[in-house]
Amino acid sequence: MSLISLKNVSFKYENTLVLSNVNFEVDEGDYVTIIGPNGGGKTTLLKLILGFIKPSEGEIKINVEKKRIGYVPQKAVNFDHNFPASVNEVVSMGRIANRGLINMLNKEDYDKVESSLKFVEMWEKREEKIGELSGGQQQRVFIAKALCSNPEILILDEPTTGIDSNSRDNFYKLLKELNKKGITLVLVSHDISAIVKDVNKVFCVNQKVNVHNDIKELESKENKFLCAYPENIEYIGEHHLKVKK
Amino acid sequence: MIDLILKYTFLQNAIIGGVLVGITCAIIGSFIVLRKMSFLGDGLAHISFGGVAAGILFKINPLISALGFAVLSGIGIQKLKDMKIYSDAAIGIFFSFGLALGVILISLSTGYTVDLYSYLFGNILAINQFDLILMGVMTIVALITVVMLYKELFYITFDEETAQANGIPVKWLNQILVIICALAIVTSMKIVGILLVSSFLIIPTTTALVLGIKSFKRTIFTSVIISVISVFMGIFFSYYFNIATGGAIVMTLVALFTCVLTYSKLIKKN
Repeated sequence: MSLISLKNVSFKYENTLVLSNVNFEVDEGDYVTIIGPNGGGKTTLLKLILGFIKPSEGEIKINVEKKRIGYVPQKAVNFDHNFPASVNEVVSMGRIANRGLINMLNKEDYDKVESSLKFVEMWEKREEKIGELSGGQQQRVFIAKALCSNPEILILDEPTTGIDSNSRDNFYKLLKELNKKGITLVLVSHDISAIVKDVNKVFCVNQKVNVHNDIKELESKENKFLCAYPENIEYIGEHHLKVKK
Repeated sequence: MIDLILKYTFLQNAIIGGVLVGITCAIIGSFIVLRKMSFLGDGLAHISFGGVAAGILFKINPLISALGFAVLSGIGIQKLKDMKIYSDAAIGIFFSFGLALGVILISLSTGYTVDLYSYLFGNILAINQFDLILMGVMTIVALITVVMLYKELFYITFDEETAQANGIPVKWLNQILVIICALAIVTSMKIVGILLVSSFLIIPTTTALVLGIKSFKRTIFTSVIISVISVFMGIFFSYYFNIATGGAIVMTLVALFTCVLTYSKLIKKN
């Protein structure tokens, strides 16, 4: 079943065309990565999917309840680190939309918070201040927060920015595990070689969106995959890419 | 001091009023300060000046007219923000409007400057039973709203963008926050005065933040404690040194903040 569907979508900011005639579908269980150069329209594409902005042309269909969309924004780990919130409080926010206005969080919500924190191995840190954790730990907490809402789909905008390589690898392992559990993932990322072996669809965004539905085609038609980075990326075989210096 | 409190009704009223205001402002201030909207408190207080002047001129209870002014201006500020006017600029426009209107209304009539003076600088010892009831109602309305919407207000304070993505009605909640801030401001006006009222919103939370408390709920609780202690100490200093009560409360808040800041710097150094 298609969870997200974009048909002939274009977006103009003032008079500048940011996205032109975009067509794609994200199906249940997909692990999609969106790649492309800075300013190519990746974040705009996510904002359209999340309903923050309306398309100038075309149609967007989202077949998921808003509260079942988990979202980890680009600036998730760039929040005010002096903000007095414990890990527990941050993850609890993931239950707020499910519970509805006025109603207090109940035992079921706190059980879900506990299981989400345990899943990302951050339960021991639940009383810690979020701003005092490392970047990798904070990212795990934000994933736990998103998981709390029982998401059908998890949308992540460059979630590994500013995280060390070890934490980043662990983070991608966690995402793979979530996808195996049936959660559809849409991930904007620059770590192309780190994730290309895990994903099943690649959307190359550079004003236009080139969709690669079959990763196996990469080896024979690698240039197709490089369409978003015509000059900066080099295909070095076996799903590995290298940024040219 | 306890003997005096038991003996004099005006001291009892002052303490009850001060505590009510201290609790309300500390709770609402926690959201306002962390959302980096501290200027809103100052802005709404100055806007209320026009309402107070109108109330005195047209013989309406100035707290009620100030409340109307502050709430309508709060809605207006939010509307301007929706029209892509910068938040501080929107507050500044209403700030100037409220002050200008107040000045014009003063110039239209003479003979009520003493009353106005008590609203500008506060006169906690002049709180009467009606003021106390009005303050109590406003406090209850503000507190019930915060308790009912606590989790949503916390969410938009921490991360407005993700809250919106999860379907939280961010615009509506921002409006509610501005309205309850207006309620808190007007409730505090007679205690510390228009010119000092934002200190009740800002200083207790900022002091609690300097303490580096790890959770939001505990930060709110600590702000409330700091606020209530300052009210008691301020009234005590005011009585024994025969100084203005509003000023004494605010000076106590500033002194507590300075002590906490110095202590936390020393701890970090060692």
